[in-house]
Amino acid sequence: MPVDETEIRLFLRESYPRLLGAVALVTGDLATAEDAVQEALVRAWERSERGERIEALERWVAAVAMNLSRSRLRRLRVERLARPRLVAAATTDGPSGDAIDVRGALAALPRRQREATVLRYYLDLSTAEIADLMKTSEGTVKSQLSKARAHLAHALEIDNDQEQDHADV
Amino acid sequence: MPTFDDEIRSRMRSAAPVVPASEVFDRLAARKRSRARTRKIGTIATVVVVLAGTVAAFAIVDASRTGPQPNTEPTPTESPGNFGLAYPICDVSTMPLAIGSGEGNAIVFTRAIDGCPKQIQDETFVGVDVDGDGLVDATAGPIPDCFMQCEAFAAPDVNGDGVAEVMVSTAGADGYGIWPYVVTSSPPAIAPITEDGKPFRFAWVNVVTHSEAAHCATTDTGQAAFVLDYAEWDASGASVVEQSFALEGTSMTKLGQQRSTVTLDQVPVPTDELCGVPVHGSAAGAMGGPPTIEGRDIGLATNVCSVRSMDGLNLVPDGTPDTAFVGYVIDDTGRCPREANRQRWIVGVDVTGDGKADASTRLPLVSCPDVQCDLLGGTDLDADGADELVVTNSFSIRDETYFSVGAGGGTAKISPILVASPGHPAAHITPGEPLQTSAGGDEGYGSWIRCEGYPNAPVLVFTYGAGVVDGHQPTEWHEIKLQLQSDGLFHVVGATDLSLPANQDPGLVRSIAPACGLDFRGLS
Repeated sequence: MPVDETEIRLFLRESYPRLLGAVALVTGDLATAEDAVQEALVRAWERSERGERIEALERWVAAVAMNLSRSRLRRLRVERLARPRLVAAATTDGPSGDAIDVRGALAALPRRQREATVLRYYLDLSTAEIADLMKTSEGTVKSQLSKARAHLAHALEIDNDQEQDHADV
Repeated sequence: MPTFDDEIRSRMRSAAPVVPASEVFDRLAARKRSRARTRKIGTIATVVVVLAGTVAAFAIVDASRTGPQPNTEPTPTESPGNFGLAYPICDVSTMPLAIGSGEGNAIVFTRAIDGCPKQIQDETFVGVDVDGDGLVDATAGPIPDCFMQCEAFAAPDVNGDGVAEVMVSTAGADGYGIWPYVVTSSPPAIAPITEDGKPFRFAWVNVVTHSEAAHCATTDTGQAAFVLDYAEWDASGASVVEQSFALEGTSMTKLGQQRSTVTLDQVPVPTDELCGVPVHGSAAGAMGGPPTIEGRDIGLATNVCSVRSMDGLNLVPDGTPDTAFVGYVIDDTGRCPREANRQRWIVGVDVTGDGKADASTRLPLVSCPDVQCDLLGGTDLDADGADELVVTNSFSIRDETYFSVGAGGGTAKISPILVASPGHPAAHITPGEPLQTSAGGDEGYGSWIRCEGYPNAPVLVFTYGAGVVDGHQPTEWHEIKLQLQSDGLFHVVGATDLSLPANQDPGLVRSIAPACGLDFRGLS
């Protein structure tokens, strides 16, 4: 599937807000997420123009955006430039109390647990797809999700009805 | 009642920011054009470097040429004969194999058709030479999951029948997956081991959160058992699951499972042997030891990693020199977390001189988890005879957070110094929050700190300009004068706010000299 202007516009309409939300939940910072997702999308566009094939654009952009957002220097720079805009946004239309709780609970997770959790519960990817995207084993993803679930259940006072079988590797 | 999964899914969707995609396409197009321009500049620079490098390389080759030169073309991976196979092979690894009183060999290899394949996952096989004559007598495969590298791993006799099993490792992100095979000497054969009809595999992993290994044991009835170990731990101990299997023919049958709790030094971790035989290939010597509690004990409830300390401070004016510490605390597993997970930074102070922290706080600095934080120093910002402590980080823009330390009645306390109401929200100096200043700059941002009235009535002057680097939008300039007053709060005693075209000088003093007794540029 060529990633051209039509495809990009379709992606922006149908996938961009959801993907941006996912990366923002992982980074805890909207500006960093916007920068990472847009950069990933531009890279996909450029690769397609060079003749490379990108089969699943949303997953490709998700993987690259997650990788980009890990760059601490990039994140700091973006945060710095976006600080006035973010503060203004926060004072006019802040998140609800529950949203703050959820974001706080996610922020307290180690980075890879946070990524696995958002990919599983926000983007609805399977553990196999998450393992592929995070370049790790499915067993490790299950283990990360199990720990994340335990933390989120405690932090958000949700009854955790699932017990992960850790021996299932 | 919704399940946990439904509940967390729903709440995460509510928590995610909602951002419309309008105008994003224009921004993407602009970004693409900007990247193209940057690449052109980069290409020109690269050509210059390559040309210069080529000239230098010729000079070196000419000076050192004394005989035939090695071929510098890329060559296929090792291909030492083909062990009697009907096709050429690559990526060969071998290990000895005990078969009764004799010794054969196990060979893991990738089949080469038109040279060594780049995609090896469907072309990697395991073979056995049962009589040690150097020729493969039987093969099995392709070996599953050979995405990066498959190697001969170990050849233990798991079921005690006198013929070793062949184990092949597949390299993964966190360690190795191991595929075991059964060898028959007469007639020569090799076949994958299965459990309930499916290929049997175990992991060989030792990472920050858990380990997976295996060992051989004997049951109470004298039966040979192959045991898979799975351990998870935190700083207080480890939980271990052991699953026992018996191997009959090519089938593994589960005998039982047992859970236990052990201390960290008893955690089963992969080593360089399996069931009394050595581990071969890249897994040998690569798995690390049992988990340990990392970091440094500075007198707090938890160890601290990457501790920076500064002594000779006068945080409490009692005649005893004081010491400050900064670092990040260990994670729940007792290890110093990797860079992306260093969230819990702590500042500690020793005001009694015993070398151990008497009080600590967690930093409110958002930049600490990403950039190593450090102690800038102590200076008396309110002219009361005691130093305030300034913590910063090592980055091109350094953020500073200010702490006051108190002691009395046998206890000590360290607290971030907050901004008094009304602050100066226009410049993001927010009342009730810890004062955070910065010094330094990068693309689109510059900040400076200078001082007036020091040491008798210090006023900290924080100046910064911020703008988007596109040449069109104005730069916002702020100069804020802050005084630490007797109520223990920073008061804004003067402010200038400007919005100017990007290239216009704001006319504000931007000094990089030491200020209020500290060099705010000091950490490099």
